[in-house]
Amino acid sequence: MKKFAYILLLLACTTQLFAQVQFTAQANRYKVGVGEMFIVEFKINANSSDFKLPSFQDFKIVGGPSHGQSTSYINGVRSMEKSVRLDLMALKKGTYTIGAAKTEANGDSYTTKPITITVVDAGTNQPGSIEEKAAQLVYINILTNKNKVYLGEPISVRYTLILNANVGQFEYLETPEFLGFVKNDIEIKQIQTKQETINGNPTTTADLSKFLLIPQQVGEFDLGKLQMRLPTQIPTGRRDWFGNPETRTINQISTSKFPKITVLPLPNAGKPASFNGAVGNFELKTSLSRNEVKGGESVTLTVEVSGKGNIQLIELPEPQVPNSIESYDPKYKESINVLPTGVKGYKRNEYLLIPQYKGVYKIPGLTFSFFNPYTEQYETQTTEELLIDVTEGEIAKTNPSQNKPINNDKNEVTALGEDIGFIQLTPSEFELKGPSFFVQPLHYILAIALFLATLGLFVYNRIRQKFKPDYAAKARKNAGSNAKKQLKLAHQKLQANQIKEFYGELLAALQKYFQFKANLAPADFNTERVAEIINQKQKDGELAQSLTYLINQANSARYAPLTQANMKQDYDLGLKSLEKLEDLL
Amino acid sequence: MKKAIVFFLVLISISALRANPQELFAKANQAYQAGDFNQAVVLYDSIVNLGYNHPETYFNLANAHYRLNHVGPAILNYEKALKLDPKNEEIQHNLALANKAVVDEFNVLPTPAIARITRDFSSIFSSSTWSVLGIVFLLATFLFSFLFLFVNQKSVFIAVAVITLFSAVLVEGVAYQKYLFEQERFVVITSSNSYVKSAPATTAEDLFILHEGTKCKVLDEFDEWQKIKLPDGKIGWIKTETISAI
Repeated sequence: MKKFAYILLLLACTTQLFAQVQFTAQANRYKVGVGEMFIVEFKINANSSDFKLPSFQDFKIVGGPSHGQSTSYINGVRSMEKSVRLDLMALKKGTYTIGAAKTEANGDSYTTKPITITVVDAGTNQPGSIEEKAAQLVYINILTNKNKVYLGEPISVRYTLILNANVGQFEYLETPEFLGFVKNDIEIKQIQTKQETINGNPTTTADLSKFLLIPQQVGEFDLGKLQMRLPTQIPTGRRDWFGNPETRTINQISTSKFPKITVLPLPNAGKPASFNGAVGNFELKTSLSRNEVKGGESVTLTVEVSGKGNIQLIELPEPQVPNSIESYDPKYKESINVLPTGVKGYKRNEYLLIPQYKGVYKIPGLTFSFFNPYTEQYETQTTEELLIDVTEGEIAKTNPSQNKPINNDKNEVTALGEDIGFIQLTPSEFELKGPSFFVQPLHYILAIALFLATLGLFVYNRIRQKFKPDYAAKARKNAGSNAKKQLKLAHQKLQANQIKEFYGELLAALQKYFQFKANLAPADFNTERVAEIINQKQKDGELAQSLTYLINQANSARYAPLTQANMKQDYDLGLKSLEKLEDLL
Repeated sequence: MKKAIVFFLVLISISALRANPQELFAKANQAYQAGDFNQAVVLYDSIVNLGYNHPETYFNLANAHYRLNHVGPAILNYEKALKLDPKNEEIQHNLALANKAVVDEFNVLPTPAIARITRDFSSIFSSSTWSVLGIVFLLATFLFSFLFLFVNQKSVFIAVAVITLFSAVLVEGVAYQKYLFEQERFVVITSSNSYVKSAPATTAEDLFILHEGTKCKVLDEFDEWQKIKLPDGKIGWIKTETISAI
């Protein structure tokens, strides 16, 4: 009876409760570790239109808000419940408050009480707890092939999920950031599991993501961490109704730190000029599809770089194709395979060449330089020069100009084609020509001879002019002795008593003396001129008188023959005058 | 059969040595008209081999080569003919046509006006004629000097003598310039193509490729190499065996 009364009381209470609208906020855990998840739920037992949720800036919203609604009838009384659920993750250690949520129902507004969450250090899973078991069975791992690389040397990275238990829909919460790297994703079509042995235990793994990191900067890099929510199904050890093992889903958060990456600079020593950033171990190959072609046929020139390294970033060297060979844009091919140990593959350019003209053409050898991180040295690959032998060449013919506008009125004489003129039928004189006259000795001889001859004319003339006064001087010098010789003749006439001849000789002696000695022209030889010449030198009246007398005597003797004359005296006077003149002039 | 043809050709060339150039020229023309260009080439060549530097022979030989699609020899012989007869329009026309078959093209450097005038003026006569003219002027100088000095001291005589002396110097200068132009050595590429190197050695770097028929000027030679200059001013070394002198 008493028991019944309690039930009644309880019922009364509940009805009383149902009658009252309640709006509550609840968390499943009030103490969580950093990076752990918890659930916050806001519930109202009335039909409310919308919820105004507080801010969750201290936490990360991992899931939700998800709305829920349920209606139930108890003893004909309809009750309704609405809820909003959020999956939150704790970010930092500390005590945080989730503020009040507001809503309206039946015209009244309701608020919840704030919730206080204490966040403690992670890993506070108690040993042997189901959470710890989950973390041991299922976790993520970042695998790199190398952590110390040279600039440009690719690092292959895998995000691996170790799953020794079933995992539901997982979710990335935080991913590393790759500043200073170029990330090249490797497509994974479908996540596949595989069996690996980790620490001696057979393990099922799955690669979630594969990519390459190509360092662009030198230094040490802390790239952050990878954090994932992994709904892990853990067997509870119990069995359900049908005897199947019962599992429980643990919404665990798994974190893996990205290993520290050290990027070393490429050494400067021995860096080749053709180095263009390739890091790895490569091989350069060039080839021609054939070496001998006819003009107009095509040849394929292949340039290929293959090997291991940052093959995505390398540039193929460009071949130097001679201008006279038509070259088309290359057909590009690549194959890049990413292996846990690195990247392998090739890049290939295929050039279509169409030579037109006959001849042997060279395609110079190419060089490709790269840094080999294994030997830690620069290496250069050089290919051999390739030769294309074009056996039959085309001779460019000019196109006849046929596209001329049609003129209806007149027919312009259009050239149908161009051709060379006909041969010349009448030859000019056939002559064997020697070297130019310009270089023949005769030319030089004639030119020099004529020049010298002309020069000679002037020289001769000059000499002639120069020697003229010399004759006069000589005559002047000899005038005295000549006059004496003449007087000797006169003396002979004197002895022969030839008066007229004697005076003739005497006069001639004097005249010639004056002609040569005083430059007196024969026509000017007279007493006045003679006196004048003597007076210019000396006022010797005696000598002038003697000469005047002698000239007059001689002249008169010539024209009016003297019968009687003192020839001896005149001869002596003449001789004496001549001696005086010699002293004077 | 082939041997017989070769023998026949050799026979022709031997007999050609004895024949006179007029007969050979007529025979070659007949061969050309009959369309036997190979024989025409042999016959014209035999005239050249006799030592005749004859423009019509070079011209006809070039025509025969042109018909045989021998671009290099055709241009070579047109150039030879043109060198002997620079104003001949027929040669110029045929040469222009043959040059269309040449692969190489150049941006010809402009010649300075003064150089062009010198070249045009000096090309009025040959260097021989210019030289003779110089001698004539010198002779005139001598005669007028003689008249002035020994016959009559008229000032007109000495004036003429001075003018003719200056003319003689000028004309001899032009003769020298013309002789230099005549001595300029040009070559035509006769192999289908040839690599021009930076130095006279096979190991030297390739500068550019020249093709058959391209004409260039020779600057120098060394061993088996000729230093050439192209119309656009490029300079390099080429193997002597790939070219022929004009």
